[in-house]
Amino acid sequence: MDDKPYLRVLRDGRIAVSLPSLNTVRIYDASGAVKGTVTTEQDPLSRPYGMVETLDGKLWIVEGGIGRVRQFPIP
Amino acid sequence: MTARSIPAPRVARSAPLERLLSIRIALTWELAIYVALFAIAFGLRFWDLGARALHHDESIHAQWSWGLIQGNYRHDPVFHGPLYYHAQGLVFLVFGASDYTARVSPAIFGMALVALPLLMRRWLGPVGTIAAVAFLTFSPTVLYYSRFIREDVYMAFFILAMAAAMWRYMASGRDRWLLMFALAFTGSMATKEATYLVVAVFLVYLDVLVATELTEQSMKANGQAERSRRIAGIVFTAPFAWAVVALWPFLGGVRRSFSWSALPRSGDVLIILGTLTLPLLTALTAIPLEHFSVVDKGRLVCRADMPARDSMAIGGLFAITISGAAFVGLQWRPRTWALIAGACAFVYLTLFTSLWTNANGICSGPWGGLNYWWSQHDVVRGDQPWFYYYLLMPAYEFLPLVLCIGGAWWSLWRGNAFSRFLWVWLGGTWLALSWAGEKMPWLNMHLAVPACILAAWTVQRALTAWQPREDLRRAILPLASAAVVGAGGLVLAAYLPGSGALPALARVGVVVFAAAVAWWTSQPFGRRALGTFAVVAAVGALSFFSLKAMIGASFERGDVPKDMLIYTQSAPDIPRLMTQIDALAEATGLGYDMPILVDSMDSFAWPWAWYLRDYRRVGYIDLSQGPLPTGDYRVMLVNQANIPKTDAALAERTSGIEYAKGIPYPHRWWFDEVYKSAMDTGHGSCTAKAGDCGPFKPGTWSHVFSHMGLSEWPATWLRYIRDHDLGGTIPHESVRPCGSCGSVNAAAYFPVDWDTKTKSLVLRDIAAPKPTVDASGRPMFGGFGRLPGQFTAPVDIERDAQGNLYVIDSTSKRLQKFDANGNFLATVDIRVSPGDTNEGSQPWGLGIAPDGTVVVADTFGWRIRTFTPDLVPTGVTFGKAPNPDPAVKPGEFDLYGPRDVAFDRQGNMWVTDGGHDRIVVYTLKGEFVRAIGGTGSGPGQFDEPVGIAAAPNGSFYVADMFNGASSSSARTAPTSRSSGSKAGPGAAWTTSRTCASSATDASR
Repeated sequence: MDDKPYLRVLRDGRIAVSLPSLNTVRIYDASGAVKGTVTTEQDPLSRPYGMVETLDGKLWIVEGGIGRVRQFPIP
Repeated sequence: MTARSIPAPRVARSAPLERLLSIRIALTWELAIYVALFAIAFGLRFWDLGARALHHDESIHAQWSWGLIQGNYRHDPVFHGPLYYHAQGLVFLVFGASDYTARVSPAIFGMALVALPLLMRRWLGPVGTIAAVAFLTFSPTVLYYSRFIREDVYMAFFILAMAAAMWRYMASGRDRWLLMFALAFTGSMATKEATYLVVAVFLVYLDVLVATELTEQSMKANGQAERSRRIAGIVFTAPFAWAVVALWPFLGGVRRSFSWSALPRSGDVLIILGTLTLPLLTALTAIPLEHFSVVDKGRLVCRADMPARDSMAIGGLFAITISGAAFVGLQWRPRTWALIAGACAFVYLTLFTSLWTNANGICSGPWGGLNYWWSQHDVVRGDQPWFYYYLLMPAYEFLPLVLCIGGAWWSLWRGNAFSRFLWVWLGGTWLALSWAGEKMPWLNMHLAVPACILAAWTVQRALTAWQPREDLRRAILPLASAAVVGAGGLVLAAYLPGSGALPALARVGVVVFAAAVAWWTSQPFGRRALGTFAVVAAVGALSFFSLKAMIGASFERGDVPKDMLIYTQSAPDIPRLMTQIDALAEATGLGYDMPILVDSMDSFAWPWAWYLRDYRRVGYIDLSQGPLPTGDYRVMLVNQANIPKTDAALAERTSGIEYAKGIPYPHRWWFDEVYKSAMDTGHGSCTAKAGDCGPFKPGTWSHVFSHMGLSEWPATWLRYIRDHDLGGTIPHESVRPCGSCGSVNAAAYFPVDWDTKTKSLVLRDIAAPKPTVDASGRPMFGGFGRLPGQFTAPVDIERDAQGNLYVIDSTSKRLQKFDANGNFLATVDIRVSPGDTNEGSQPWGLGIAPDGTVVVADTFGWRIRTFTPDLVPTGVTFGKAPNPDPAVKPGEFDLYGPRDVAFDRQGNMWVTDGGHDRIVVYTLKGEFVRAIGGTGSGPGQFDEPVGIAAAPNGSFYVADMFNGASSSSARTAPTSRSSGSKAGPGAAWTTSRTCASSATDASR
C-alpha cells in the first residue's frame, strides 16, 4: 500500500499528521514541533491514513492495513 | 557269501530354520547395550515422523516417489536419484502415502546407518563400536536428516558401507566384501552426484595406501627400515601407484626392480573403485571437446529426442571409457571383475531406467547426472561462504569434533592406517564440500558420519592406553563421576548469568575447577588413566548440549528455522492450512473435486503439489504473468508479490465467490544468514560470490582476530551453540514465530462464509456490522470485507456539519456514509460505469464542501467526482489523464494523480495534483480558478504534494512529501518553512505555510 501522509488541522490549531509506514499519527504545533503521538499499548495502529476530528474533540483515524476506522482521544 | 554292504547311518540334516533357531546368542553387557541403543535409535527415527511440514525438496521427492508407483517417474538429473525414489515408492506401495510414510525410507536407512559400525568392530574395538553406534544415534545432524526425505541419509549409508567393506576386504581378502563395496558404491552413485567428491577422497587415500604398501614390500625385501627412506618411497610412488595397479600384469620388469612381490589388497579395491568410476566420468570428456570446438557448447545433452548423431557421439565416448575400465579389470581378475562390474551395471541401469521402462535413463544417469551436477558448481546455489561447514560442524557436531581434535595425537601421529583413513575421509570431504559451489546444511551429514566414527575410535584408543593396567570395573564409578562433573561444570559455566570480564572469568574458573576435579578423580589409577578420564569428562560435558541441539532440531522446532540445519523449509502453517482445506472440501461436499488455485510464482507450487496430490481440480498458475483468473476456486494460495494485485482484482469483482481477507503465512523460510554480514571485511557481505574474504586473504583473519572481544563473535557463537536461537524480535507472532529468519510469504484466501476457527461453513449476516470497541474500549467501525459498512482498503475520511462520516475505499472504489457513531447509512461505487473493467479508478482523497457536497479525488482515475450528501452523483466529473510528455506544461484539467481536497472560505476546492507538484483550485461546478506552485523546494513550490487541510484562519497546510527529504524510509519531525528552517536529514515531508498563506490572500 501507499505510504502517503495525510494531515488534518485541528480546532486548536495544531496539525495531526499520519505516517502510514511508521504506523503512527503525530500532532505538531504550527511551528513544526511535535506535541504528541497517538499511541496504543495494545492493538497498535495499522497503516493510518485519513483522519477527522469529531464534534466533541476526538480523532477518527482510518486504518488502511486492517480495514477499519477507530476513534482516539487527541493527545 | 557275499558281504552285504551296510549303509552308513544317515546323518540327521537340519532345516535352515532349525539351524537358525539353534543359534545361541550369549547375553552380554555389550549385546544389551546394543539392543538398548538400537531401540533408542528406532524410537528417535520413527517417532512422530509426520509432525514437521514437508520441506520444499522433501515434497518434490515424496511426490516423485508417489508418482513412481503410478508410472509417472522418469529419472531427471535435476532431482538426483533414482535409488531413493524407488525405495520410497516401495514404502508408499506398502503403507500408502502420508507425511509420516514419506519419511519412512530415510528412517530405515538411518537405522541401517547406525548399525554399520558393527562391521568395523575389528578396528573400533568393543567400546569404540558402542561409541560409534551411540554417536550416530544421537548426532543432531545425522538424526535430523534421517527423518528427512533427501538423498543424504541414503548416500551416508552407502559411503559408510563402502568404508566398512573396504576394510573388511583388506583384512580378509574375501571377494564378498569387494562385491559389497562395489554395490555400496553403485547405491551411492544412484543416489546423489556428491558421491563423486567422496569417491575422489577414497581414490586418493587408496592410491597413497598402495604406494605405502608397495614401499614397505620394497624395503622389507631389501632389509631397509629407515623412516626417511620410507617417506621418500611413498612420495615417489604415490603419483604412479594407480598406474602401477592398473598395469600390474604388464610391469614384470618394474616390479622385479622395485621388489614388489604382490599386488596389495588395497590395490584390488583401487582397481574396483577406479574401473567403476571411470565410465561414470565420461561426461567430463565433453569439456575438452567443447573447449577445442570439436562440438558446439551444450550440444551433447541427454534428451529423448536428441539427434542420432549426438547419441552416437555420446555412445562412442562411453565405449572408450568402458573399454578402458574393462581392459584394466579383466587383466586383473577376469571372473571377479566381470561378476562385480556386471552386478553393479545391472543394478545401476535397472534403477536409472525405472525398472527398464525408460531407455533414456541409460544416458541421463551416467552422462546427464554428472553434466548437470558439474554445471551447478558455477551456479553457487545458496551463495554460502567458504567457512560454511566451519560453522555448521561446531554448532552441531561439537561432541565428536572435540574428541577428534583432542585425540589427534593418538589418531594421526600414533595411529594406524584405519585412523588415518578416517582423518583423510573427514578432512578430504570437508575440503571437497567447502570447494564445491553449492553448500547446503544437509551436506553436513557427510562430515558428521566420519567425525562420529573417528571420535569413537578415539574413545577406544583412550581406553586401550590404560585398560591393560587397571581393572575397568573398579573405575566405572570414578569415570561416571568425571562425566557428571564435566556435565555439571559446563552447564553451570554456560548458564552463569551476567556479561563482561568478571562473569567470563567466573565461567573459566568453573570449567577449570571441573577439569581439576576430573583430574583428581583419575589420580588413583595412574597417569595413563588420565586420557580416558579426559575423554569421559568431555563426553559428559558436551552430551547435554548435544542432546539439547538434537531434540530442538528434530522434535521441537524442525520446521522453524532457528537452526542452521533448517533451510528453504516449508513453514508449519502449510500443514495447518491443509487441515482447513480438507475440512472445507468436506463441508462443501466437493471433496477432492474442490477447485483450488495455487500461485506458482517462484516455485510456490511446492510443497502444495504434494499436499494437494489427491485434489483433481488444482490450477497451478503464475499470477505475476497475467490477471487473476476467473474461476470458482474455493481456496486461493497467493505469493506475497501478487497479494496487492489479487486484493485489487477481488475488490473490483461484482460476482463469483466472495473471499475473506487473505490469511498471511510464511511459505518458505530459512535460518538468518547473519554470518555473511558478520564477516564483512570491508567489501560487503562475505559470500561465495562476493566479499573478498577468502581463507587466504590476510584481511579475513585480521577481521576475525580484531573481533575476538568478550562481547563479540566468540560470545555470540558460544551463545548460539548453547541455545540454537538467535533471538530477535517477533513482529507478528501469529505470522512469524521465528523472529530473525528470512522468508518468502504468501496469503491463503478462503470463502467469506468459512470459519477457520470452527472449521465449518457459517451463515454470515449480510447486514452492515454495528460499531464496536477495540480491546481498550476505543470506538471503532468497519472491518475487512465487502459487506456494506466494511472496507478492503479505506484511505480517507471526512465529516459533515451534522457529524456524519464519509469513508473512501481505494480498492473497492466505494464511498460509504456513516452516522457520527459509525452506524452504516449508505454506499456508492464512485466509478461512472462500475461494470466496465476498462474504467481506471483508485480514489485516495475526500473533501466536504460547505454545502455538504462530497468530493472524491480519484487519484488514478485522474479526475474529481462529486456526490450529494446522500451519495447520489451530482453529474460533476472533471479532470483528465496527464500528458505523458513531461516537457509539456500541464493543462488546467490535467491531473497527475489528484490526491486530496480541501475547501476555502469561498467554497472553492483546492486539489493537490501530486505528479505536477501543484495545487489546482476549482469551483464546485468544476470550473478552473487557478493553479498554485510548481516543482521545487523554494517557497510556493512542491515536490509531490499529498495531503491538504484548511486551517480555521484560512490558511492551508500541505503534506509536501519529498521536499527536504533525505530518506524515504526515515520520517522525523516536520518543519515549517514559514520559520525559515529546512527539514533536517531524515525528514520526509514538510509543511508549507508561506505558499498557502499567500495563496489564501490572493483568493480574497
